[in-house]
Amino acid sequence: MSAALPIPVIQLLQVLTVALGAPGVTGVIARVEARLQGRRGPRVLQPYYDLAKLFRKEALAPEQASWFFLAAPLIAVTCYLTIPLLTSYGLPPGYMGDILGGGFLLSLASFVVATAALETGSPYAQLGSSQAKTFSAITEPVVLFVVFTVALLTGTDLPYALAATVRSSAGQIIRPAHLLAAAALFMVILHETGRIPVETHTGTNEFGMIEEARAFEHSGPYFALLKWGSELKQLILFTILANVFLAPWGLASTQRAGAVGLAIVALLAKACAVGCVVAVIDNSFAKLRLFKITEFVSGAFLLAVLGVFTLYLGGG
Amino acid sequence: MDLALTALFAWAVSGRRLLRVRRVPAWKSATVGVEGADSYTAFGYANPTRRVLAGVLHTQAELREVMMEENGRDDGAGPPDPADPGWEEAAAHLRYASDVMEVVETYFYRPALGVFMAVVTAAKRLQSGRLDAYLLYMLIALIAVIAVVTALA
Repeated sequence: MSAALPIPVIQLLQVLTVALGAPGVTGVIARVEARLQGRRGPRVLQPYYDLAKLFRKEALAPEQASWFFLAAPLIAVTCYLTIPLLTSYGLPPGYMGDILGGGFLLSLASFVVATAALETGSPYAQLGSSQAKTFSAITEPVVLFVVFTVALLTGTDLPYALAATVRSSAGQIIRPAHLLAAAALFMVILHETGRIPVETHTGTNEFGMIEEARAFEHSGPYFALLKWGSELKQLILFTILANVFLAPWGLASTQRAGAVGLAIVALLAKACAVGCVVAVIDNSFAKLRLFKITEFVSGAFLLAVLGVFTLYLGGG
Repeated sequence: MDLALTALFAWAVSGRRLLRVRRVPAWKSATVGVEGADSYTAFGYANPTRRVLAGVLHTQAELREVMMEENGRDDGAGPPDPADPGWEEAAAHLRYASDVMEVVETYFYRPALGVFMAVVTAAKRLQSGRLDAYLLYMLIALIAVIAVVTALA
């Protein structure tokens, strides 16, 4: 039998899992995507090499940009690394903060990056910032409605209460409200991580960029932090989807080292599985026109609202 | 505290490069001589939102010809006047205007304003400024209070 780990060690492990695992998950997705297109693709470890290279490069900043331009990547990464502390992903104790707390931190990070992009004076970074905020105005209410659905299903807004509810019986998995909320959240995740049909994340056309364009003027260590931040955000969102909504199995229920280790492996494996689905979607659909994205995110909003309604009308 | 840890980590992996930031002009175009405003205006930044939420905000956009001002900027000089000689060259300038409808103002405040103004008019009539009228109100109020107290006793 393995020994029980003290809670501070577990908390630290959660942050380290997300911090170190996130570029790996991105690497796996890039590899799967390349294989689906018949290419050999980059190494799975390529994102780590990219980050290491960027951290060693010189930092440049636009002439008019203030200190906030340089502080923003640090603040964003700090936000993303705080979320695993707040809502423990698969590791106990997960009751310090709720989904809403995590949502606030994600919004703060996105706001800070968008503001830094506005500081640059570069039209392309500002274009990305403006477009990102336009569609966030619709996706943030979706996240709120997903939280409402969770609250109505469980009576709390703790992510792990929903995970326990889903685990409790097979009937819970096919509840319409649960499925609608999960689908809405998945569509928001496609938007937030800059994937098809919202954005071609490997694209080079500035006018179609939303997520990628905001970091245009950052360079060196600051760009590395922003890139790492996007990868962290991706892993966090995949984890919420997998560990709370779709497959809340394999979470650690005790503080024993064996259970915690298994939870870490399960977490990364599930994130890679979600990433594979995203890669398949990336390869099967076309990017939407900019103003058609509204219909996509409005569709997510409709699903989330329907989820809440089915609960009230007795169908959920 | 967390922020300090992140900064410390970034400093540890990148060293002095983190603090030695070189200032360069922002990238606008690969072609030399492309000029433009340095930042989005608040109007421009919010314009996609105005378009995307057109169903809710009742956005109206129009494109019309206006006269070019002396300094080359569009200061809202109004539509061209065909009576002026050479107006066609001066009017070769378009102005884009976009406005949203304030839904709450149009459907709530404006209808409520009529009712509110009727109440105000009635109240104004009571406040005539005549002392004997005010004494009469006080007398009515006194009788009303006495009536209520008597009824409750």
